[in-house]
Amino acid sequence: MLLKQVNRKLRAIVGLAIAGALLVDPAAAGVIITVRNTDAATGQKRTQRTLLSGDLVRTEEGNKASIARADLGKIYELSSPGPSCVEYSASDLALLRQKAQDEKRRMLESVAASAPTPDAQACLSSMVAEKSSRSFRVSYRKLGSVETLGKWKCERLTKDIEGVMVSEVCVVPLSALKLKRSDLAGLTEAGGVFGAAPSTWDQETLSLLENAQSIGYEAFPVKITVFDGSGHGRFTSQLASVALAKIPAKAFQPPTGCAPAPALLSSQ
Amino acid sequence: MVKKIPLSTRLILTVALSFQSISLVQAAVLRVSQTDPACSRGKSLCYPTIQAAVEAARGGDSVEIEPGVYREKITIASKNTSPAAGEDDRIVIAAVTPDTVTIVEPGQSDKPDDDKSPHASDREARGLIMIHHSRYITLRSLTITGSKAAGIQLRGDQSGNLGIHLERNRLFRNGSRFDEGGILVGPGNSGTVIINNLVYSNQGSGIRIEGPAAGPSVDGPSASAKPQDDGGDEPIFLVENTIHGNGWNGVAVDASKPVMLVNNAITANGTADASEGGRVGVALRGSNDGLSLYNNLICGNRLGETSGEVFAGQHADNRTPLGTEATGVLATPECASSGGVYEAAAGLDGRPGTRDDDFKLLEAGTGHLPSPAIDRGVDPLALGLDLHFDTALYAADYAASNVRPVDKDINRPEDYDVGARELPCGCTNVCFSQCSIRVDPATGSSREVCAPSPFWDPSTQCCDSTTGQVDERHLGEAMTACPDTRVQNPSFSLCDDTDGCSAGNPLNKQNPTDPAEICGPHFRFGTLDPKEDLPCNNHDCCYETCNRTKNECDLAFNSDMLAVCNQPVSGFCATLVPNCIGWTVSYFDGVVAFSGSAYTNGQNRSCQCCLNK
Repeated sequence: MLLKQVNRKLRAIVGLAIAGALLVDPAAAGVIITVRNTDAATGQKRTQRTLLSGDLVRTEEGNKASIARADLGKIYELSSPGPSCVEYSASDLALLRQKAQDEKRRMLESVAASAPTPDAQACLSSMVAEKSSRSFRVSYRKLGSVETLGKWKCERLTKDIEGVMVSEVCVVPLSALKLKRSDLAGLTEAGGVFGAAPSTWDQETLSLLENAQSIGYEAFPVKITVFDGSGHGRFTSQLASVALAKIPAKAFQPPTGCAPAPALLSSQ
Repeated sequence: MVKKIPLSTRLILTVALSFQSISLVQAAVLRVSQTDPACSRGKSLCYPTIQAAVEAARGGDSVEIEPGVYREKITIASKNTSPAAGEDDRIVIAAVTPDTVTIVEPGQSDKPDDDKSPHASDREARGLIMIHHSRYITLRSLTITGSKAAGIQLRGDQSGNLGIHLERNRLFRNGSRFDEGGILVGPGNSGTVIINNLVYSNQGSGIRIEGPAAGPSVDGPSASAKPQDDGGDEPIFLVENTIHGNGWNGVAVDASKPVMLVNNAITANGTADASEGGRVGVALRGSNDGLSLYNNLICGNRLGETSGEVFAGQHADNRTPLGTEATGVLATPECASSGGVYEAAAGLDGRPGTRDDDFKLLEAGTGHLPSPAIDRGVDPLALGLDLHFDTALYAADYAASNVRPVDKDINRPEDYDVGARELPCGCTNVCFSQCSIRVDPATGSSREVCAPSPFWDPSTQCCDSTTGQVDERHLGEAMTACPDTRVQNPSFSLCDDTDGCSAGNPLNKQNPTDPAEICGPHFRFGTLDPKEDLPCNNHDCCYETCNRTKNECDLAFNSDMLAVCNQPVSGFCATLVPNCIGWTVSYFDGVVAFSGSAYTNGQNRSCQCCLNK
């Protein structure tokens, strides 16, 4: 009983401290997007939140958070308990992507090793070069139907990558959410500096904006269903809320003493 | 010392040996042909008329009638009259080929369009085929038409017979206005078996069984020969007949002796005007507790399905449209019209009462139920009928021997069809010859299911569908030996032999320099654990699933990989998503181009086949 009372008091003190900090912390206009992810295979459900303000992005999921500072060219990965913080620079990420490319090359070489002739291997090399020299093609097709999800009536689209249908996306116009394109500037900035937005949901948002002309309007995702090889929905992400809000600047401030990127990245 | 045999003893032995030699005379086959010149001279056991062959036939003989139209009245009299005569002495009078022998009333045409003379207006003394004072006679596979009296008449009382079998005959357009129709059975005639006959469009009743007091009897009060009906209470059996569209009743029973009706389709009778004598399916005049009915379909008869106390004796599982005739009679509304029972009763020419009338049962289809005759009969063995006659009789149907039962409807428990036509199953593949029918209860549509033939064990053998040759299975070479006929090797453990994205592939390993490992499971495509649900593992499994195509495996692999790349993720690992998709796009192309041998090896491991294909 006594312990409970102490805990309650402690929580109250901590809460007041945070509230006080927020009160004194300057805040800026922004957008808070909350999404619920479901893995159909495991039944696992997770809530993910993206906070946008100017060119700053913060994503939160469970006990992890990520701050993308395009202005500093850095991404900070925060996790608790710990707490811990790891700092990745844009060059680290470029290196990581390069390693990814290398892994791809090794992977394809292993496939090429099974090619029966030198000619076949040359053919594969040519194919790899062609694929590597360009980004993959993304396109959306309208299914011609709408779906009501909560308070949103969204239009159903399918998304193809290189002609393969990978997901179904249900979208509404940005205006239906009282959003402007400038409200999502943080995603665009992050994409430019780090190669991609810091969550798959945000990447879908960017992708839709890039394809606004073919879709006919600036669309925002309400639901994304990713299909697996058997044609079933494997992952589902659904918009829970989107709100214009004042976001404290502290939300985008990395804690002091952030560790640099692991040696495994820089040493390779 | 040699003891002499007394003369009296020698005489007895001589006489005994003489009788023995008589009994050892082989049964003869007597041919009937209108075209073979040898037959016109009555030589070589060959005869130009059926009557001539019948007169020559002795106990145990067969009369084989070659195709043709025979314009003759036939009398079968005083055959097997010896008290010792039995089943072994049965005289079989049959068409060589079913449905090719037509017996027509002299002066009548076998074609209904040519039939200008009306049916008899006066009482005829005899049927077109008349049997009297005889035992153990079989008439089989004959078409009998145009008679001015009954098509087949078994005389009764003093002229009666014993053990007459009428099998697989077609009787139509026979009869007179005195209730003579297809088959007329006089009083007595114990052990008569009328089975698998088509009896339709006759003027009187399809089958009439007279009693001693019934009138008007066509048999005279006395006859010169000794009556042959010493069969006691041996019943008269009507089994698996189709009795349709006759003028009076389908079956009329005047007899007081036991009569069993089993698996008969008695439909649409009573077509003649007026109502004297009845226009129903089954009419019983008087009372007969020995009349028993099992699994008959009695439907659509003009003035009712039954008259008299038809169900006073034993009965079970009979069907009528309303089911109100007696307790236990089952209501079957779909049989009220012939269209609910037969596919096209009037045959190809669309005219009822002609030779091509076809009583093939209606199969299930969209919007209608299968014929209520399908699989609604009873196994005659269950009724003990094998104690009375050969089981081969009811294993046949009108058209062929040894065809019953066929399970056409898995929703119905019994396999025998009601009536003279057993609906055949359509399995033509010698390796998959066991046919059954599955009916979709939702749509009513049916499809035939062909199961492996009894001689073939698919788990260890393969079967050549052309020759039926059975061979041991061969493993490990399916893609070269039998790519089109390969089947899953049941002893192969599916998906236990996968190695993710192939051994040594960086996307499999716990490699700290591998971005896929840095980001945890997010971008992992495979592991060495075959149970993991990951794209490479699933792809390996697909390659090793017999008869999956390479294309479908590769496409599923591509989608699986893209799903891994597009799974919800946040933080810096999300910035690798474009790379992940890039890997997928290129890797997929590589796999499509160069994994042919992996696919072939997988199929060879999982499939088996016959080298004789």
